[in-house]
Amino acid sequence: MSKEQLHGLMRDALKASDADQTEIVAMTSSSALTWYAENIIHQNVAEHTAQVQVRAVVGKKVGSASTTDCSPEGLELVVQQAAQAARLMTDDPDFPGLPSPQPIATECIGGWVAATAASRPEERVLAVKKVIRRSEREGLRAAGTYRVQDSELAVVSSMGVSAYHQYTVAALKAVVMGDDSSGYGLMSSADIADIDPDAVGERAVLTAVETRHPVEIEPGAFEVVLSPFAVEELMGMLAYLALSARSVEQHTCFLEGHEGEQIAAPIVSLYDDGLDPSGMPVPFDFEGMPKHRVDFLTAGRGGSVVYDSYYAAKMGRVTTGHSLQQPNDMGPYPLNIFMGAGDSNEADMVSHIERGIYVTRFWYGNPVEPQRAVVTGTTRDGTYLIENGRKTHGLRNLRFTQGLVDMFAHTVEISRERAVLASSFGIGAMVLPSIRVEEFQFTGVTR
Amino acid sequence: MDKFTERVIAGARRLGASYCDCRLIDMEREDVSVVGGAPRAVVHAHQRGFGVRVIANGAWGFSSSSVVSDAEADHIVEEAVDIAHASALAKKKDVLLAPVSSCEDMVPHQAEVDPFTIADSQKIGLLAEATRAMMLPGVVLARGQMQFVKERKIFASSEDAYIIQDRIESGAGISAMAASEQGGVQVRSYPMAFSGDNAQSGWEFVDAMRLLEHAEPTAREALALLSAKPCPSGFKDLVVGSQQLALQVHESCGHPSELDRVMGMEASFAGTSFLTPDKKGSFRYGSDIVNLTADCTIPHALGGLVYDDEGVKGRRVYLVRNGIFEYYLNSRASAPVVGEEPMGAMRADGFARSPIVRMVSINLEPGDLTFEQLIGGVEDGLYVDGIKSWSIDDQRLNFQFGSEIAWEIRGGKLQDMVRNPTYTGVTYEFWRSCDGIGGPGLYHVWGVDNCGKGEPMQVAHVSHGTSPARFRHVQVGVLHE
Repeated sequence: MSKEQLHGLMRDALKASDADQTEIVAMTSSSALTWYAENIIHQNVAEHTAQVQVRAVVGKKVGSASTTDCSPEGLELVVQQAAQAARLMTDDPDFPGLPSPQPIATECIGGWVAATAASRPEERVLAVKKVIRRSEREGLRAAGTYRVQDSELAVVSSMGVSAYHQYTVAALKAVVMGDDSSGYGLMSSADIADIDPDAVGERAVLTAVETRHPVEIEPGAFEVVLSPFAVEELMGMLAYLALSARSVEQHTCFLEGHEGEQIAAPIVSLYDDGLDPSGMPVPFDFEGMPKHRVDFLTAGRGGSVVYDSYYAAKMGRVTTGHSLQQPNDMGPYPLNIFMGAGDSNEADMVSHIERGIYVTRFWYGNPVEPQRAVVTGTTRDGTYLIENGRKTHGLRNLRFTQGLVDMFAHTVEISRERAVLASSFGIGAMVLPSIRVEEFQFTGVTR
Repeated sequence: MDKFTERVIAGARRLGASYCDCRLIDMEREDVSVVGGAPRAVVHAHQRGFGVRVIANGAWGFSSSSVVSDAEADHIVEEAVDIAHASALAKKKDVLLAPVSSCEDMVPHQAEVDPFTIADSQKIGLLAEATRAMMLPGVVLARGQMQFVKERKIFASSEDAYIIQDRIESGAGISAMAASEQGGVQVRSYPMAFSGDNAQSGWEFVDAMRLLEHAEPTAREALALLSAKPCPSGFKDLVVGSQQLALQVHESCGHPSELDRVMGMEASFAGTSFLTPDKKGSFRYGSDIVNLTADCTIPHALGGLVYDDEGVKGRRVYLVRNGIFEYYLNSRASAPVVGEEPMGAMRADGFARSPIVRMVSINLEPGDLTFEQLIGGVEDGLYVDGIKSWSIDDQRLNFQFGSEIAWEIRGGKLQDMVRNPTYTGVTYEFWRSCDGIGGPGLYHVWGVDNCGKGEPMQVAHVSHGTSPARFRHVQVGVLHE
């Protein structure tokens, strides 16, 4: 659908509402995914979906309804259902009303690439075959996905909000396995031409080969180098636990009461920036509010958190443009997390460690003590022992139980190069470096 | 067969597909959320669409759409067949499906009172009253939620299956968060954390939870946890409550027995499984008293089904019998590879996604002990319950779980309350250490509506029947600093 078509349908539907205020959010997506494992493609799928979410406000009452039916009749019906739902609600005294429009910076955002949108299943299969062939040459088994997505996000409201963004995502992932080792590679971009299947396969194969015959190590505190993939798993948990106004409400925000204080190493900066074109920008949120950069940590000093209009009003702040689809239980959320680049590289980081561990990925992270951002999980797909500045052996996977605030305080080196890692939410991305951390806590070994 | 699915199947045949199935789904969902006595959200959602799965040139293709029209049916069938031909460029051998008997059937839902006939105001009112009752001094957040699903699913295949299944699900839960001046935060939930308990039932299921009655005691436990002892660290005997054990069964038995995962199909996302086919029939998964079943037939169980999304009739199998690993959760394509018959575990999340092997109701069959006997057999240990945190490695071996609450056990008696309990271990060592399981009177089938798997991610509604059980010499209180 074009911007004009979609906005036209949505504006017509607004007219059918008899609520005091009405907001319509439409998300359409044509996506395809080639899923491979054991050196064969075992699923190859496409989906064409649309979802329209309506918020209707009557006084202080808010009702919502959603539908997959984007016909004029379907939209009119869902608008009426939302208004009916609102009338059944009791007042929500904290609800501030729908937000008024604000200027949105769309001109320099980009993010949609015609070649990605037009890509064919054969292209994905041929790319996957390159990963498979490279793996087979080493007697390894390749698994992974090649995802291509062409999406639209549009918001209109009776307050005058009118926002539209179209974007594409291409992401190729490889997990390559041997009998006792595995490796990982991932590349994502808005432009399918940026995806290099040879590079993705090579990285995964090399790691799987180098970590063959892993040795076991006693758990304890180690100096570590974490690849961007490992950092991503940790930042995903941090985003959920501690970077939003809801985390302040839930008392799980380590930044609360520490604004301006030195709580992390001075080399650590962490922020959300939905407008930075080096990530996968999204110029506005699901309320049609413009994205503002939010600094969580600046040179190790505590900063702020992200807000949507509800939490902003409740906490006496202004929205930062981080609303998810309303209503939701997650509160506002940072979809474009960046960690500031350092001046090092992975090879240098490894060379600075006498005895430590290189982690390619973490897996199945979950909070242990949310208010201190203590999380647990395990390593996977390429864990190395570092001895005298060199990766010497593969290691059996380890369980970690680590406070993330402590991790930031013990971060001593950050890479210049950062990876763009498309979000599994289907919108946004993290841009993250490799980091070297002292005293990282491993608490168990897998069998 | 109706005209729409007939058109899909005929179109696929015409384009050379050797197999085709179509799922046409109409689904309504309602989510109600209340915080501290005030409604936070009521969301009515409607989804309608269809998914088409084909085998052409010996390979799979799938496409789906939320536009249900003849023109879109033709487009989606064509795309699915096109994708299958692309898949075939990388095939090693043709996909083969285990035979199933074709059938026509109509399956009614199991609800007594359709929850969509209950006014939103009644739902909000109940949650508002319950969450207000939890707002004792020291409680900083009281939440309540309900969720309801009503679905009609039509499954038609080129093997002459035509099955209409109606399904209604209801669920609810409340939780209280207490905070101390020293910065401590504790959460207690009823009847279970996250979205509470869920079942294939109607409003009567929510009614029977008696949320109001449990609101204040739940909040009082959250407050009591603030000043409870920290979890001791070391190896202790552990009695795991029914709710926490549902999580243990889910993560350490349900997921590793998914045959697609065993065959490496999940390797790039959730990992593989230690339950490899060479272990089938001989591997000691647990002690002699450990019997774990996959049961599609339990009435009202959230994971129950009559037919799966391949049209296979769901049945009951032992995954683990008398401690020995015996059977997998499987599909028509994977079952023959390990000499099994399909048992009804292929499920898709809505119309847009292709089915994958999922849990149904995975249960630890009850033993014969009373709660007092379970506790009475422990000299020095912990009783833990209430799901709080979970993590398990990509082979499903090394796990670490946290519970909302625990009590010390000394001399066979429950003693002081313990906060932030955690325990860790290796799946088969843990289950081999099981020496007591609660009887049928302690058994409950928990409905879990947030099981994630697959790429793109699919969320399945599953269930776990469990009684409390006792485990020996388990590492508790994981130190991290």
